[in-house]
Amino acid sequence: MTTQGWYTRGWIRGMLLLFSGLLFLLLWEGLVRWQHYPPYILPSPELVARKGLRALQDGTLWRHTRVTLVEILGGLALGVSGATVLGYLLAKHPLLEHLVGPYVVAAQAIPVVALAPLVILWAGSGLWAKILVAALTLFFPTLVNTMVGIRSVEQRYMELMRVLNANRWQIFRLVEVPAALPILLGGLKIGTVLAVIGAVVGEFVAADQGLGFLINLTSRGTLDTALLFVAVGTLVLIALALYSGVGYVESRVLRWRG
Amino acid sequence: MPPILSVQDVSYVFVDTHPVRALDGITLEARSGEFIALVGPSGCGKSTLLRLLAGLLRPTEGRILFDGRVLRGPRPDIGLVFQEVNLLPWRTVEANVRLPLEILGTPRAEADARVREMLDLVGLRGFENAYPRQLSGGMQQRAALARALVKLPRLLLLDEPFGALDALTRERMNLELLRIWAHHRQTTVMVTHSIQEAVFVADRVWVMTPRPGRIAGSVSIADLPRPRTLEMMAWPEFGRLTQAVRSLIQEAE
Repeated sequence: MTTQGWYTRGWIRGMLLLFSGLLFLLLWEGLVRWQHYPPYILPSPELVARKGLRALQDGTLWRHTRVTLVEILGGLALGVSGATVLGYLLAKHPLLEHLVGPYVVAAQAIPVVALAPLVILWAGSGLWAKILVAALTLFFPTLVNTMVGIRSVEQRYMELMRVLNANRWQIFRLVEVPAALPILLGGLKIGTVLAVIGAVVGEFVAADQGLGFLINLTSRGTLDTALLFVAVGTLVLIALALYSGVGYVESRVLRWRG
Repeated sequence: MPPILSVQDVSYVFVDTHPVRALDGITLEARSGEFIALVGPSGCGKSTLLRLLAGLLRPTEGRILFDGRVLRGPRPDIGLVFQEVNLLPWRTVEANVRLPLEILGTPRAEADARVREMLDLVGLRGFENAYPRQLSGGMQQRAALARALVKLPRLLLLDEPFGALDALTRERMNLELLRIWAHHRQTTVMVTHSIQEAVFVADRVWVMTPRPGRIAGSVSIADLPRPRTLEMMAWPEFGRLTQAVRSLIQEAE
């Protein structure tokens, strides 16, 4: 148990968060008025809010959000499952790690931004290409994380399973997965944020819809900076929601740690 | 009656940087229902011997017979309690005790009944849904004992099960162990480095000496009646028996 400060109470924390949010908006509004920025440089929070509301009402926001959301979730599903399976195999078979490891590291050494055009070139400019880019972005950290997780399983638990004559599947299901779960879930948290980045990078390269496309369009074409803020804000909300979603699962599943 | 457990001229060599002879020509036996203690200083290979009995290791030379068959690996009718508490921290007490039956594929209803019976036996009723970290050391080792007993093993192996507990708790747990053992009277082998503890729990104490591990001899504790009580530790007979064990260790040095 850490020390119980006055700020650990739920409602006080909520109030503090609200207060800091309001302060942030106030400073922003003040800056715009004081410097007389034109809206295409820095729109006021009020303008962004109005823009967001209109984009929400005429369906623009949801149309783009939906596309990006599918890319993020698809990238997560593909990247996490692929990296977890490969990570498990590499952790269990040193020879495989010796043979495959260098390629994985080499692929990671290339920035995703540089890799994305190649993926688009090969996989087309459709949905699948963005899912691939998102998956690639989170693949390596998830892979390494899985290897660390599986290798951290204590030897005495494995010995217990040997005494009990457990087969490979039982060892996997009853010991390896639950023992590695804290680390795996930690990796998934990072993975959600990386998937958001990956999807946007993919859309930057070639897309005609999605929040990344919207950012690209408003910043380079229409100079509708308020809409750009709306798009960025939506991305932040998606990342926050996914991150705290995994955090919630974590707190439920890992209750045994107290 | 032939012995149910028979260790015949067993040696064990493990290879570190060079081969190390951990056990050399070990021969001992236990009758069905007998409680034997393996006592010796640290490094005498008694834990290694227990691992051989559990089927976790194979003898380099010699053989181990249990119930007339050569031991070739872990068996469902052999239960082991580890030196350090080895409960799975993400499972409740109840789920930890159930684990062996889950792996064996015991039908649910039968497993439920057996788990409940074992938790009652070791005195953990009411703690079914607690996680290991919420239990004291003594209670954790009770749960580990219940887990080892839940398959109704015919051979129970105990590797200094109460070594990590304080002296008072340890005495109480030894009494508890004997009470639990009296229920099914399974053949039991307990490893310990405490002569007092060995004499207190066992029917026969086998004495081991180190480097390489050898059997120096054995002392029958048949003169101490069962059920054992803590007062017996003040009996002259108890003193004579511990002295007999101690002199076996000293002779070998």
